Amino acid sequence: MPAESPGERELLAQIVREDPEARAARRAHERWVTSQRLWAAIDHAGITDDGGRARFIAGRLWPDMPGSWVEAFVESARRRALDGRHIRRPERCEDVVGSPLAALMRRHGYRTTTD
Amino acid sequence: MDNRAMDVRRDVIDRLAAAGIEYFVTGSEALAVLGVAFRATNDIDIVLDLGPSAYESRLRPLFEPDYLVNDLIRVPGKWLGSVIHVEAVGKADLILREPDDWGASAFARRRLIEDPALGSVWTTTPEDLLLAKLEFANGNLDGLQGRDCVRIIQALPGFDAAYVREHAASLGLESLLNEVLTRAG
Repeated sequence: MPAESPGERELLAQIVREDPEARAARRAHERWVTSQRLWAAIDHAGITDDGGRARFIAGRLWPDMPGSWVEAFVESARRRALDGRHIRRPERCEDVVGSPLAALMRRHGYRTTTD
Repeated sequence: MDNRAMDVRRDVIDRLAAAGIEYFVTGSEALAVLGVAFRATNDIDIVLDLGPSAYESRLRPLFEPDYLVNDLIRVPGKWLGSVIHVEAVGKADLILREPDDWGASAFARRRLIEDPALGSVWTTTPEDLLLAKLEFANGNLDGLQGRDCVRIIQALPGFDAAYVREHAASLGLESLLNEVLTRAG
């Protein structure tokens, strides 16, 4: 097991001491940032179809997902796109973490839009 | 569901609760709810008190068509399923244990916790989370699972070592537990 550095231990101690609401806001912020990075990577890769986006998302977010589930996800995304139900590009953090957590993020000073 | 402003994790928990399906959150999200570690995770792990047939008859209609409900996969001692909200890009992994003493005990000991992120949520106990992580480590403590096990022991005073020892023995995890206890000091 790799040893934790003193810096890592201090960081963990700081996080554990953090107020629970502040911690929830920070973790929601991390999810929002992850989503923005994911979509930036999709754009950078030039993937525009829903099936391709689903495969890319599965590989980045859930790399250990069994192959049969990946294929089901890709097929479902393709099928839903034919009905106009596309994978949604989040415009606000509410689209990723929901309204209550977005409000919590704002109270703790986090940006919640892509502007 | 066409509401864009949704948290898939919260929605999954709300649907289970509304349908009266017994569950508890485990894995890395439980580590965060219990205040042990707070790394970012891209999904949530939930143990369900359901058998494989009820996964089809009760859970699948509860989530479709809003979610993709993946077919169960058999692994030793349990079944693994998942639900994916395709449009909102969110996933919950679902664990259905074969009936055993530890599984029943973990359900009996779960706690309803008011979490700032998830709201009111049934969560596993530190002892049962440790056992789950020992099982998930699959004999190898040299990675994230091993570090999590040590953190659980170190972070939580009043840790019930006797309970863990009892169930570790029945699960064949005694030597791994001893190694983790040694590392935790």
